[in-house]
Amino acid sequence: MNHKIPTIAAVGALVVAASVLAGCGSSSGDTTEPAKSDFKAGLVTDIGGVNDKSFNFLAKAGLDAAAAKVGFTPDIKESKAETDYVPNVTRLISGGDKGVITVGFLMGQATGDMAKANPDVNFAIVDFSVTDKAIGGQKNVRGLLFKEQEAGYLAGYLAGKVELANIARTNKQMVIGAVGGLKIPPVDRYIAGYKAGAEAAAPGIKVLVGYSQSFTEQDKCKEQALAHIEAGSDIEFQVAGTCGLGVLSAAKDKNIWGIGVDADQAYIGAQVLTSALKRVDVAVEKAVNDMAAGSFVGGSDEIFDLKANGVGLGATAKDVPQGILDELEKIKADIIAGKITIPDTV
Amino acid sequence: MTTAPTSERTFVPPRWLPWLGIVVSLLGLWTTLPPFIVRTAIPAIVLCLVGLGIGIVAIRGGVKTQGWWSVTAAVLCGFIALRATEADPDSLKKIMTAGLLAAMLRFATPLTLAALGGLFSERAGVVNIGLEGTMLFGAFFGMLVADKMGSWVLGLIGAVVCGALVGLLHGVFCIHLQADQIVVGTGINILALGATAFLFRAVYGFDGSPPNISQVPNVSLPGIRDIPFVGTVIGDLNLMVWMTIGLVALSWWVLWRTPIGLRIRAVGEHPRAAETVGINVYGVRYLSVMISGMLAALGGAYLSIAFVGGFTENMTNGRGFIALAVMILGKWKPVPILGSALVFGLASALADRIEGVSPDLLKSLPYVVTLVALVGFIGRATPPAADGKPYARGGH
Repeated sequence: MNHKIPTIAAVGALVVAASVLAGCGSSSGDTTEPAKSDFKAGLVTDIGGVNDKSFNFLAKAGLDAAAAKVGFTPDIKESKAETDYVPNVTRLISGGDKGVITVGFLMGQATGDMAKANPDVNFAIVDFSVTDKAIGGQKNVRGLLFKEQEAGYLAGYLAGKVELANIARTNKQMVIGAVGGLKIPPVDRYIAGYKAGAEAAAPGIKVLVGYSQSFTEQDKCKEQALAHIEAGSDIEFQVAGTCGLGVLSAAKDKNIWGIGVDADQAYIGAQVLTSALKRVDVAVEKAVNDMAAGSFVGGSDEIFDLKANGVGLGATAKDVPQGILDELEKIKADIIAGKITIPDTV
Repeated sequence: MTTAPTSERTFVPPRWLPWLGIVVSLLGLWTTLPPFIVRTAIPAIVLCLVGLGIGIVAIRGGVKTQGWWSVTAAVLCGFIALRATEADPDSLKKIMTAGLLAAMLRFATPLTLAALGGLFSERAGVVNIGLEGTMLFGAFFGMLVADKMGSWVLGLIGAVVCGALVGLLHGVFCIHLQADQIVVGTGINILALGATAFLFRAVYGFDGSPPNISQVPNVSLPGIRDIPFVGTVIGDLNLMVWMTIGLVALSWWVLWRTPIGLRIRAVGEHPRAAETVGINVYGVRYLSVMISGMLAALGGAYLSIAFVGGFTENMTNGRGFIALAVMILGKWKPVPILGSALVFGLASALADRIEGVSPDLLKSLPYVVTLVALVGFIGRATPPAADGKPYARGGH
């Protein structure tokens, strides 16, 4: 045991090296752009990170676009756990940010608390209403809400018609599915719309719904999708960010259709039937521009729907017959005209 | 357990008695499941109570290990049967399918590989808490090499090499520097979490892993694939699932049928005695921790390049720790390790398929099984005698 001291030192060095690397991994931000404006805004992501190819990725794209226009260096803090929300917001504010975007329903409480403590900073939160008691209508917070059910309805309607048309990759069992991350309102709005749309297109169709309990772990979503596929599903809608990429992977393996979420995920592969779009990028860009221009209105929600082009459908697979696409356009017009009522809870 | 009874014990239960208890409990559970689907829990509860009674008799009679199995089986079966009677018969028919067993095998594969890794290391007397981190390294480097080289074969080789290096690092600290093995393993876990997240960002930036990574293929067995039930279970499994079953057999053969296996076990039981007969204790331990790293890294690579085809930060998500539990439950033996990994796999697969119960609760099922299993059996699971103790060569 005469090696004791070097050992302790060596283990200590290993742990320090590890924590330094851990620190590097959790922060990022583009520092090459020169800042031109006094105004600075930053963004705190939900768990899942900006490389989720969907939700957080779009929020970052929106902030980047606004930053390029206004002329500042955007700060992005990624949350690894729910306990990161408040520290990340604090870091942005102490770094001089006068605008803070918090991305995701789960950040409601943290955003409300931080907005109360920092009345001179403007906040915009994606997927959470300022009327909720966690925020209590704070004047420096704007809620950016989406009518996900409208995008979900279009995706479900397309899925139902594809089932009836019996095109490539489908069986004749009339079963489709959706895999959500957590059972939270924005996820359920998508799924509620999807179910309603599928039933409208193909009455009697069966829609399996599962939750992976994660927005990050692809294997969990893939297992959930495989369980649905086993039960006859041949179209699987992913509503789970990074985790949901596993659903698209299951669709590829089992030669069925997958439906992407938030961003247009058609580039992921030929198995993507379409994507239910949610223009988080548009909403974030607008909020930041308003903050920079001094025209920011807090204390209320801004709603992005089909009419405002805030939600919609992405590119559709080539196998979908033109007739179905024409029908979809009609449905879209009906939704915008308010002729179709879509449920927002499962 | 089979020693002669004391004078007070008038009844010596036969060895098969607790097994009968397990079978009775399982029968009880089965009454609530397809094809019987009895919609009242009474027969199940009665049968499970009989199973419980048999278990208690067996424990009192001295057949303790199997007796505990019997008691645990009775409690678990009774609990599941109660839930099952509340479920809709149609959904039960959907749960109890061949797909469930295929999912069980998919869940069990990474756990088995990592637990085999733990086995080699601990059989040589080095505790490897760093399995989790090693898996994560394997998952990342497997994906990186498979992507950059365009070949899953090279990806697997990359993961194995990386695993061996992590094992070597563990070895340098634990063997030569005689550091606390738990602390070093924990250090490796933290290092892996930070290093893989950092490198992932450095290489792939904001785009995440590319969509078309070369993946380990599934093995489609013509002929077998078309057999109704069996075909769905084993007709189209991933190549790595078969590889894992092969590695279980190979591990058993190496550890119990070859001279090097004997040396590994000798070093883990009594290093001083092993050195006395001329075994290079440090050499054998280095070899073992490197094999350990390779196997754990393969388990990680299964996740990234065989199952999902991509990497996400912290994608192993605690599997390395479950693998440790699997290894303990498997009593540091390859085939029982496979068996206990299958138990975990089944629990996870069930959790994905049962509807109508709180999903949060269901996702905790595998961990509840871990606890029940460890509480029930850890007293009877004996690690290698020198496990976790650093060895000072030629000391006094």
